Amino acid sequence: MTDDKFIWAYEEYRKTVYSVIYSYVRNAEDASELSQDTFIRLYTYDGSFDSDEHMKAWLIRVAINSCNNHFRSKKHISASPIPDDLPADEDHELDEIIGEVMKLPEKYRIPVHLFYYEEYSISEIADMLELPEATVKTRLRRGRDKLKKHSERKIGCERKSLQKSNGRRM
Amino acid sequence: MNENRYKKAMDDVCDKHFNLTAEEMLAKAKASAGTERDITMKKTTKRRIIGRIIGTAAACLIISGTTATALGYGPLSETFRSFFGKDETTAEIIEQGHYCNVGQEQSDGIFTVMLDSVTGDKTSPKLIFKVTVNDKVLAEKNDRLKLSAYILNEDKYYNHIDEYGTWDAYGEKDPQVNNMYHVCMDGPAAFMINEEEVIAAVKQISFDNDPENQVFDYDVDMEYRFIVPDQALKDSFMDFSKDIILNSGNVEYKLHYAEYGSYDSSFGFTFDFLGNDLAGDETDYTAVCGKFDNDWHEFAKNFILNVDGVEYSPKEIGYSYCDTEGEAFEAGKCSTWMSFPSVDFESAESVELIAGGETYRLK
Repeated sequence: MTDDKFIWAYEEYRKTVYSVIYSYVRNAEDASELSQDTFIRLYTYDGSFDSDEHMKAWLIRVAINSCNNHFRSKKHISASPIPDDLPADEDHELDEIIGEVMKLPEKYRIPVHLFYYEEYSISEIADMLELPEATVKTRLRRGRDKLKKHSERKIGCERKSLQKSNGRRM
Repeated sequence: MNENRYKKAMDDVCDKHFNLTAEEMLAKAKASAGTERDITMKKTTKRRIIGRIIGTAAACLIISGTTATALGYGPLSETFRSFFGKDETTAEIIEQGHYCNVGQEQSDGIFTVMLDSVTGDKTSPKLIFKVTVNDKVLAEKNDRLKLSAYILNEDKYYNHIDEYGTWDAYGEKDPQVNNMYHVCMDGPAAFMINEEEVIAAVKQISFDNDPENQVFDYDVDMEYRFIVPDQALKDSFMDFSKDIILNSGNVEYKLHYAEYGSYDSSFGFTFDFLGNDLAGDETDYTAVCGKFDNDWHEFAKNFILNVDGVEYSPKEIGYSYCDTEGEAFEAGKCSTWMSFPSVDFESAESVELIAGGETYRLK
């Protein structure tokens, strides 16, 4: 790949790659490292792409594979369930929506992200995640239902947080 | 959900945390280019599994004592002496009669994977696979492969699989059979010591070289169900009785268990996740865990296990995890662990843990 093409691809798909990885790993630092790895793989890739869309799909696929490998390498951690009450920063309204999506189980979170952020169709997501379309549809529906329930629950009740009785927040 | 808000929020996260310029990224890519493996987008569709699905769990066939000799555990123990890093410990465990034969085989045409047996001890169970690669070029070009599998009980497998990672293990090629690989995979003791049904689901077989197909990571879906009888795994000595608290200066680590196994001596600790100042104002769960992990690693790396005057340094220092259900769950508490080399606890006269300048008597 030429340097110019790489620079173009990075500028064009930086957010795509980072956001899909962040949706998986839910950690800004790990997401940054894995994103760099993904673009390094692009640079060393010897094959060709039929189109820019093909390159984008390739990057997303490589990003997802990197995330899976990342979790495998952390098996001592991931052998325990991930808490579902990940806190979001209460000071930033925009962070809340990220927090809500990130609280979804992975199987709902990734299709929701690809659908809303990348605006991929159900068939494109199914192809990317190697899942039947019906499964993607179900996961999207359940993911949306969960998000809806979260937002309904928030009306009139305090947000759940890791808050101690003395008021200090972790 | 408001799509625009979500996009904007996600873009903000990206701009804040992944903000290398294109030129900086290019420089990093160039610097790393020499060490990265080429990969491709060519993907395989899930192959039809033609091996039979095993609907009910098969109990391991226990082979022990003189019967074991008659039926030939010899080849399996010799496998450990030849492969798997010349693992004399497991070879001896097998010769003591601690293993069970599973003998379940599945194939998708390209790969035939047999879960041959289970052995090890109750701290570190091991699953022995034999993988036959029916693609001649693939077998010819690779001296090793990597197997990735979920190993869970039925409930976790069907209802919580997304919350668990796979277990990975490399397999070595058999020098006598040029397309067969021997794989020894560690398994989760928690699911294998209760004589309950275990599901081992092999999901991926990976290769370093794949010049013809350019796939490298082959998705497969091969499930094995079995029950590991109690005597198939060698006993480890567990001790939950010691009331010991180690203080790093930041965190108090309470000894939860000490387990003296054939492969290592492991110690589990609990700590108060919510009740100390280490997290500061950090709100991100993973980042909070990172702070505890740093404290634990700095503290534990200097621990010494003294057994009858022989001192052992830490073998492995673990990372924190927080149970959210089950017997180990305690609100606000998380756990971490570390290990030393295996010691003969039962024969030892004196066992001491030296930590933070203090000596704690374990026996």
